[in-house]
Formats: sequence, C-alpha cells, structure tokens
Amino acid sequence: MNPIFTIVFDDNTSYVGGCDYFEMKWKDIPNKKIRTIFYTMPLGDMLVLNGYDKYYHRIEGVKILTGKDAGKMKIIFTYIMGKIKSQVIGYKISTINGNIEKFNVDEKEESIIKLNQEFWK
Amino acid sequence: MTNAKILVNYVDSDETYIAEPSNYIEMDLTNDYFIHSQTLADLLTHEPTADELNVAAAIISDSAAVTIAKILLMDYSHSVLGSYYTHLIHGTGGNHRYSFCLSFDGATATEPQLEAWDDSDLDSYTNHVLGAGTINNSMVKAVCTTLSLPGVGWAGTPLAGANVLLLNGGNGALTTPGSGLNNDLYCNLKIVIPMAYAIPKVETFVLAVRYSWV
Repeated sequence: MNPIFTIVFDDNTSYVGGCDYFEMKWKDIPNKKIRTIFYTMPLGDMLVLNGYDKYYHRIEGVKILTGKDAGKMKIIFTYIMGKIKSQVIGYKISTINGNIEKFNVDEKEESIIKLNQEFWK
Repeated sequence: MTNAKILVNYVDSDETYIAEPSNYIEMDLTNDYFIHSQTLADLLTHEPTADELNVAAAIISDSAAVTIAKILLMDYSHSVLGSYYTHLIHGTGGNHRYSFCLSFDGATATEPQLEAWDDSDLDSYTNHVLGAGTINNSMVKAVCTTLSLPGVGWAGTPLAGANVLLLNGGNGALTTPGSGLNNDLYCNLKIVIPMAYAIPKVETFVLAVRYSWV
C-alpha cells in the first residue's frame, strides 16, 4: 500500500507517513522545518502543500456505540492544512465520496484554537 | 490512533472510574446494549424477552412528560456479580456525574462529542425518539458531567443530528494523558417522552462518539 503522505524537509531529507488512517505516523514526524507535503487523497489524487510555516493533519472518525454496527469506527473526513502568518488554509476531504472542501480561516478561529496544538508540525 | 471505550457505572455514580474501577462495566460493543425501561428488573438471570420489555415499557402520559425511569446495560457475558444479564446504570437522569464514562487511551486532535442518529449511516434523525426530523424535539437528553454535576432537574441537550454533546465541556481536544492513564470523560443521559405524545412506538437509535486523531 502507498503512504498517505510523504514529507520533504528544508534540509532535503524526507519522511514517509503511514499507509492507513489508523496509523498515520503523524506524531513521529521529526521536529524539522517542512518544505512540502505530498498528500494522497482517498480517490488517489495527489495534493501538494508547500510554503507554510506549520502543517496539521487529522482524521475524523465516528465510533458507533450502539446498534448493529456497534464497535465499528467509521472514518468520515481527513483534514490537511497549513498555517502561514495568521491564516490557516486547508482541505476537508470526505473519505466516503472523495469530495474536497477548501477552507481559509484565521488562526484564532474557534475550530483552530480548539485543536490539539501539540500536533502542528 | 487513540481508542475509546465506554463504561457504565452500576454501583455508585458519585465515584470516578479511576477511583473505583470495580464500579464499572466496560461495554462489549458487539454484544451488549442499553435498555431504556420504566420497570424492568435489575439483575435478571436471563436476557429479557420482547414480552418482558413491552410489559416494562414507559407509558405515555396525557398530563405530564415522562422521564423513562431506568437505563440498564444488557451484559451479554453475564459475568459480573455472578450470572446477571441486566445491570441498572446508576444515577441516570439524576444529579450525578459518573454514570457513563468514555475513556480515551491517548490524545485527540479535536474534542470528542456524543451524537445520536437513526442508524449507523449517521445521516438521519427521523425516528420519533430523535424528534422526527426536528433536532430540538429529540427525547434523548444528554449532559456533559466531566467537569461538574449536572444539577437537579437538568434539562440537557436534545441529542440528534447536529445537536451534539461536547464531552470535554467545550474545552477542546484531549491532551496526552500521563503514563498509564486515560482521558476519562463523563456524561449523563435520559429519555423524556413529551406529554400526550401522539405516536407510541418501539424504536432504536444509535449513539456514537465523534473525534479526531493524528
């Protein structure tokens, strides 16, 4: 399986992410300045982000607690975003139908502030 | 990925999971389920039949809203306290903090939230118990008790569709817990049937917890 993301750092070294949404290896990214992220979307297209100060990737899932599918984790969206100066620009990607929604918000926007800040890379 | 489990308190809803883990039963999500009932007995030695559930069901009142008296866990393994299939979840609907525990084994990227839907497609709330398409009419009321008691007579959030319950009290994502520890979040639930509700039904609905990880 192909990795979901590959990173090239400013020092020209690289890092290969995980191959599935349950083990992304985002936390293990070395603490170095990222130049470019090559991101593979659910339907196979490639998204390239570069030029940002920091990057963030998260998987949004829903764990079913009751009913016939109880115990299953449904992956709903992935988000890949970059922060530059006071702006956060990113993509919300549906893992169900591949739809992509681009967003551009201020870094002080509630949805950004409420993120776990330790995962900006 | 951060994993979540759900535990129910069958002993004393004033004690946390970390303080008194033996007060809690971890739900086997594949086999266990909740029963919302007015009079079904605790500590049954068999899985309740449909007839028993019907006899113990809540009756719609013409003169007042009815809060369903009990939420029980149907424990398929019947391995707690002997061989009992039903366990009354302590403190549901009342001014108690530690009835339901959602325990996360790591950090999250966003704040976990509790949701209710018709089914696991997670895209409709047409069931009467969820408000028949109007989220604020949902009979399923939920309150976050992670940070504090809910209060006597708490109203709660009518849980359906976009009406969700933030489980960290609105304080955002969960940070990395200490070594050997989990992030334990708490909530309380009740079902309130409106006065003179015109359509008696036996319905199911799905509870789910949404969160993000990196």
